[in-house]
Amino acid sequence: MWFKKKSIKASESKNNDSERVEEDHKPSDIEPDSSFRYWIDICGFVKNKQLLIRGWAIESENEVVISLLGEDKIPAYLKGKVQEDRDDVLSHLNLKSRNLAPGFFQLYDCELLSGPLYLNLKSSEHEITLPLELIEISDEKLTSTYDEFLRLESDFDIKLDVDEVELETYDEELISDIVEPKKDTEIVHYIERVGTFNNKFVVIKGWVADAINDFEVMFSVKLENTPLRIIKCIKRERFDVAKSLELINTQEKHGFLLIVELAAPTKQQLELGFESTISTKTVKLDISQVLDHKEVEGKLLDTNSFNLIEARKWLIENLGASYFTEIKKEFVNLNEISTNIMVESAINCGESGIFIRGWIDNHLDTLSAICVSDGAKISENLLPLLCRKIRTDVNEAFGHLSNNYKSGFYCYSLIKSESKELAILLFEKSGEIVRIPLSVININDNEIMATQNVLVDVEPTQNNAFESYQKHIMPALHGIWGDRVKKPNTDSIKIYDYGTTPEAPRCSIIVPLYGRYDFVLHQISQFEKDATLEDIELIYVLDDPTIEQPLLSLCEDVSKLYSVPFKVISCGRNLGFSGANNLGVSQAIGDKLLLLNSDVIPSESGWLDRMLSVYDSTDNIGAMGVKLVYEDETIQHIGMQFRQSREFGGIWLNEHQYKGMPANLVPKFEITKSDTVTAACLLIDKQKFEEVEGFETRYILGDFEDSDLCLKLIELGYENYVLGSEKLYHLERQSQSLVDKGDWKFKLTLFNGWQHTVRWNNMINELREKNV
Amino acid sequence: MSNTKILIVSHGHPDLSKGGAEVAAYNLYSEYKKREIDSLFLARTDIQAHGGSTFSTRNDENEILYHTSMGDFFLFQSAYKKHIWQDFKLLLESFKPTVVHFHHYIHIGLEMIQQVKNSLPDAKIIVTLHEYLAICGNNGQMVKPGSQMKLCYKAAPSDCATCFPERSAADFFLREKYIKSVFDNVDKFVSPSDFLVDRYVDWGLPKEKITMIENGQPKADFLPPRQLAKGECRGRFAFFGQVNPFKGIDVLLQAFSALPEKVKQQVHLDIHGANLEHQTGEFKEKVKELLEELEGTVTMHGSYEPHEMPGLLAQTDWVIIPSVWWENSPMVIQEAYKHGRPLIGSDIGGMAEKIKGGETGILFRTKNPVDLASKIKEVVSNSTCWKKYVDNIQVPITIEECADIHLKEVY
Repeated sequence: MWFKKKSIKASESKNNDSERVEEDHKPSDIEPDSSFRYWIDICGFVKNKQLLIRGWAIESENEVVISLLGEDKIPAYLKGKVQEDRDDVLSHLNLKSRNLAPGFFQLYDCELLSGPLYLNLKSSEHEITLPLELIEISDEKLTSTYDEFLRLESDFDIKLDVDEVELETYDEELISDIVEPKKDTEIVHYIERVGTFNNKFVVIKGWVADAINDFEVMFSVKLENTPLRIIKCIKRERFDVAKSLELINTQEKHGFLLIVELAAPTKQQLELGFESTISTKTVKLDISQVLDHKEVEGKLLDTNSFNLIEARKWLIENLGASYFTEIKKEFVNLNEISTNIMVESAINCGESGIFIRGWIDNHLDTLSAICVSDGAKISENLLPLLCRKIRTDVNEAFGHLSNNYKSGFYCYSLIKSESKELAILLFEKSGEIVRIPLSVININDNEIMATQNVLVDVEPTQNNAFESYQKHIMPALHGIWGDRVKKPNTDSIKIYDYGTTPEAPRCSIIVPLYGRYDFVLHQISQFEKDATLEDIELIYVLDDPTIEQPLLSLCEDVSKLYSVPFKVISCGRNLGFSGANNLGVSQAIGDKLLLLNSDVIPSESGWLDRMLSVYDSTDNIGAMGVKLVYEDETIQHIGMQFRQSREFGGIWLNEHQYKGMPANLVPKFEITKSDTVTAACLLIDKQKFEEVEGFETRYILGDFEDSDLCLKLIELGYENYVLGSEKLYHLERQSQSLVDKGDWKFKLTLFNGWQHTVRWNNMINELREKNV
Repeated sequence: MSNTKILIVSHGHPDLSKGGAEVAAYNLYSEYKKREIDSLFLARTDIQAHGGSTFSTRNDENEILYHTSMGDFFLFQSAYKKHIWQDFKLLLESFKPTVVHFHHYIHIGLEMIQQVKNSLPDAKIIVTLHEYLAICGNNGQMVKPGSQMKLCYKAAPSDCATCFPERSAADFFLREKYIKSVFDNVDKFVSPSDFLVDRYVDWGLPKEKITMIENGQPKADFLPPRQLAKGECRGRFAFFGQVNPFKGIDVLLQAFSALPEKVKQQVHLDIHGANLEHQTGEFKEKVKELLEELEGTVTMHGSYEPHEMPGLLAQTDWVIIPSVWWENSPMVIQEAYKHGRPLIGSDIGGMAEKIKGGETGILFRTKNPVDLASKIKEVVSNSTCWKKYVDNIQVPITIEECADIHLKEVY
């Protein structure tokens, strides 16, 4: 940088270079006795009202602090600054022996300023304020200068990852106002140990102090002028240092441990920079010493912020694979520690978690932590999070375990990266680490199997059931099913038209199909003879891609033999009851929706007409259910009630009253209020369905969605009814998914019930009080 | 009646498949043809057609073979529905019958009836019921599955589900609803026996929609009684029909086996019928054993052609029909009566209806070989009853008479 020595006292001398910005001196602003010398190299606005200014200033042989002021001397907000050594200036001024850095390179936010700008120069003894005038500078130059600023700034202004044990950082500006800095401030330091670990990290241990003012010292590290990242900076007290330097009065911690990231192995020297408010110091370090992991661990322990386990965990977390491979050699075998563990299964649950199950024998309580790791990243300590249960088989196999010992465990774990090689790490309190590889199963579209796996050890009657649902089961199941129930994007939706759907149908019937598709023939052969269904839209939602071909083939034939028009909609995957219905509704054009199960058959023509007419003449109606019977005419549904299950922690379950009873023993009515009704046959205004955003998809494999929908409607102020004067046949358990019935399904129902209860407990209690 | 056009649909052509229903259907058709009524006979076959076409002809251009088969036996659904809504549709629209008379829907599909309704809404649809297929899922026999072959008296979804554990009551409920929805399109049902009428009315068919018309038989003369040798009694018995458990062959053989030696020497049984080889192991073994035991008394003749019947009947005194299932209107009975031979039959269903015990024949307790044996003993010791029965025989209606009733009352 070219510059010219400039003295205020001297008369202004213009520079030959026309790109320079020059100062306009007003005699009234000049203090005749001051000996400020300064030069502005570049000054211009970048972005919105941000002023970039670069130059140097010195007062006699003292440091100068620059600030920018607006009208009425309101200071501008300093956004960033870089202090520059400016050896060129120092040598020119013959000040090289001093540890001065007169160069300034600063960015100010001038948005709130108005009027002319002023530059304030302040040294320890003097201060002047000068108007600042801008002259045009080429955009290119300004931009490149700005870039340089950014680069240099990130060197200088490293945000250090500092432990809680450290001091709070303080606002530098304030200090410079409050404290009068003494002359000849000096940074004193001592490097105790410096070395590299695995050619990836540099560890620097030592102490440093601002000897005069005892300001906090900040660190920066550079290699060949490129700044390096400091990933850990831990400070601790060093009373010995403080005493010998007579710095007892401050809270400052002088001992430091820096862990710096090396981009690549190098033979160069490192530049460690210390900076207190007003002084800086750079030290060159030879980093050729190689450290082994024990030393690194040791250094961490010395800081008193870690115990051995924490240190090792932290090192794994931050140093990752390089540390891991080092300490791997020290891992012991499972049979060498007193803890015993067996992971019986580990499943991948979607994007960011796994679910593990097994048993553990920690009866001597020697275990400090259990983590999941992929060799580079590590999970949080899972030991306190495990959900435990009694495993009689394990207790019997190991005689030393009491009958009550809870050896079984399961747990959901967030692991930070998706990796093929996961392992469990056991950290004993004594410091030993055992690594047990995990073979994690992927779901591969077999969500059912994964769900069974997750639920098998769940004990719904235990006190910790809810906690387990919240912490483990819910994230695991939502992870497993996440992709499956996601709303399909529009280009994956296929629509097959059979016959011509009426243009302005009164009502859209939505029927999801899963497993059995012969119901299409049965429903359509019944609808055929019902003349009142002429202006109705009929939509079948294919929720089972495995039956697509035979279904479409059947539809082709059915459409040729019967005159009922209908549509088949598919998105290529199984969405579940909620998703399938929501998909069907999204394509429906009627104002009203009749949600219908595929195994529901009408008993008499005109049923929909009559249902619609009752619906339209009932005020404030949300959902309308209807009387459903089995093939032997006994009741299948006539409204649902809530029953609270003491056995399962107070979960609310939906009950179908009068189920299986002959219809003539059931009270007769035309229409009556019913807080919840089944969605096997449910009539609702399309607008209301959209108002409550359709069916909720968090209920895995179905159950409670209809109850949830009804309660959402009540929440918005509607009322739900069941129609007793119409009857349809519901051949229940015909179309349920062809899956083993085992108690895992029951546990899943309870889990869904818990989700439902968490959402609706208050409302259900209110409703029951109201109804009494 | 000049603009009447009749299409008769049969599940087989009698030339290719010798069943009572096929013969009955064909007889009607032939009669209409004789009367110069514009008629077509559409018969299903499982033989492959030329060029894979759906139709071909046999004998002449009015006897059309329909090359197709059923896919779902539970709901009587065609395996090639395109044959129905494309090819059969075209046939209907080309021929434009005013009457479509189905003699079966099995092997063809119930959709055929739906298609007629779609293509020719004004045509009359008639269905002759030859068995209880719509009611019973066990081959339409109303016999419970299992070796005991218990008789079933009434269909109900929950009972049917017990007979077929792999299906549920709801499946049967749906089946019934579906079949009835197709039957709604039928104008009139015809049944060859009162017994079957009762069964269907019980099942839910409206009484006024179903009428009883016996299968018409070609005219025939009474055969003269068999020439007896000196001292010989009327002891020659004949069985006609498939050799399978439903026909009661085992009951028959056991009865003969139970006869006292003296009687055995005076009687002889001729079994005319095939398919012993196609039966399942246990039954086959049992029959073979009995046949061996009764060597000399019983002769297996194998299959026969319908036109051989008179000849075979001439050589026998009695016809035995020991079926363990209800039967409807067995052709055997009509053949026997046509030719002047009395019958001994099980006392249930169509047999009990057609054979007037004590008048035109004898009824024995179904499935009971001891009872049958005693009845055989009786007729051997008292041959005079034979003549009495023959004299009482009422000849079955002729094909002409049958056609008359159809044309006047049904169509």
